[in-house]
Amino acid sequence: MTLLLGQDIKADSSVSMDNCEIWDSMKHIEIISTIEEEFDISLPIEDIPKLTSFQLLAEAVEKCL
Amino acid sequence: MILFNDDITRIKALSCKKNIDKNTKIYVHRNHSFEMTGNVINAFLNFSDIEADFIYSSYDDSLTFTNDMEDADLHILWLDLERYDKNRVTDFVQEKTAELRTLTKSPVLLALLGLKNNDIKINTTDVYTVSIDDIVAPLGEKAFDIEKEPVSGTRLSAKASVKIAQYLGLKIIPSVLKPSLKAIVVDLDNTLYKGIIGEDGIENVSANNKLQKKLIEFKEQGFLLCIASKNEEQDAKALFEKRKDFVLKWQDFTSVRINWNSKADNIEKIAGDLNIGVDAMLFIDDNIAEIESVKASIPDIKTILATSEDDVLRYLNLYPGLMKKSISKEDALRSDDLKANKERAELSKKLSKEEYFKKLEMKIELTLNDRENINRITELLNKTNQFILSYRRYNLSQVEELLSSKDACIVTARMSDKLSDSGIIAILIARKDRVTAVVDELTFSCRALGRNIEDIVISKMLKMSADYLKTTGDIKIDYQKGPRNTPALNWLTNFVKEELKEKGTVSYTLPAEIKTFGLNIKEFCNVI
Repeated sequence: MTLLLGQDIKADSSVSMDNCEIWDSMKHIEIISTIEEEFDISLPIEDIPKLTSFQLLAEAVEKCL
Repeated sequence: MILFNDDITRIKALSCKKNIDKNTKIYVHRNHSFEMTGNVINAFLNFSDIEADFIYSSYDDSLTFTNDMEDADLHILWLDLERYDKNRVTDFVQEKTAELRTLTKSPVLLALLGLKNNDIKINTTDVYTVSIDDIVAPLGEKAFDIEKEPVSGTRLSAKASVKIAQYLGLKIIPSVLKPSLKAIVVDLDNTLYKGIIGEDGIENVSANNKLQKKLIEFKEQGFLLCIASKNEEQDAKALFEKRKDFVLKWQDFTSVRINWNSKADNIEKIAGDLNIGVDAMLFIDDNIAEIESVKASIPDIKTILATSEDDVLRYLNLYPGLMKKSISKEDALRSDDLKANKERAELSKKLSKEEYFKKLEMKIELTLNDRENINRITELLNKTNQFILSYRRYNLSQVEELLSSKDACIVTARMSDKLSDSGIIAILIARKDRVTAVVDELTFSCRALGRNIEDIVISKMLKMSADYLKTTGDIKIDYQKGPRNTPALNWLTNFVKEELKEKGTVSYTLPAEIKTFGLNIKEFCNVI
């Protein structure tokens, strides 16, 4: 997450689209795609807009693994 | 060299990211999103010490250019051509490129998706075209992600965007923005072939002919091939003579240093033979200890560790500075000319100036505003590092402007003798400042130095420009100290008999008659 959001952001479990300016809709797609590539999973397309925080992303990944 | 891997991922690339100050502004004119590529491309650009700041246009199929883009170092037209009418798209891209050319002097890169069915040929100066389809072709259907297109703003997949960033970031953008490499220096054993000639014998080594073929391609594009190897020279020579299956021949190499001295030492000597900087050289060797020791003595050199033939090919395909922007006739001449230099040096020791010019049948052609060679002129103005007075680094459109101006001119000098044709060896750019001629830039090929001609040729060039610009009195010559232009400044000090500062302007009085020592000089003028 730090690699994607840049080093100025503390990418811990509390980070979300609401509290992180750089995490916009374009960045969101980059994050989703990177997670899918790294974990070799495919997140359901309808869930993607809802996964707006680190916490929610982590839960979604766990479900897929 | 993770960045060069075929299976590079976004995370792996981003882990290679260095901290470099933002130094390059790239304007992206787009009709589909570039962010996925733009967010990872700096990891690859960093390999060439470039860190880019991207400015994005809004999504705009009609490509309306605004006037806030003057100071960008590069413009990218990032277009998905499938969004246009098939029958009109070629004309549209050509028109838009021409329009952009009138608005900016910076280079323009067309990165086009959907190019395969459209043949777009752009002849505008300083415009480069890349087919995105070709870059992502190895990914097959994984190159596209139509499902995410509504959110991502492009039909390209995330995987494809990393591949594109790799190709544009390693190879294309640095090659457009920075000077090209000039020479490739290779080791012999276990690099050009598998095996060691000293141990396995000439007959038993096996040629790395894919690599040899690739090197021939580079040679044809004007890169100089050289050998630095620890071997007996006669063994190496015998190898190239006996092994008819080798694609590379002994004559393909411009400078060869095969002995037991250190490789760093040999590479410095090759740089001297070729009159080029070590930072314009790429050294390929299979021995990591050799690579490290060369890098320790010559930090600016580029290196590739030849772990396997396929690895080297992969690196060469993506390596920065190995994309020739345009192949000029002159590049082909270069290699022969350098070989002839040895012979010239010996003659010049023995003979007087007059005898030397006569014996070599030396000919100089001076041309005013040589429009035909505009590409070569621009290339030389950008790649000359040692004999250059002010490093103004004109781009193609600026050169074009100078050639069509009444108050400025470019004088070029070509040289040939009975040993070889050296092509363009000197360029002088002058402009009129009221009644005075001011020289903004002067370059002279290092290959042509030491033949006692620089004073004669440059005086004649100064005279030609002053005559054309109809100026009177002394000529002003601008100069600036740079990283490597001591040869040019030493010459200038001696020429105007004046001490130089960090930067400044000196005056030169044209003599009533320029002594030519019987040198055969012809002048050609192209008036606008």
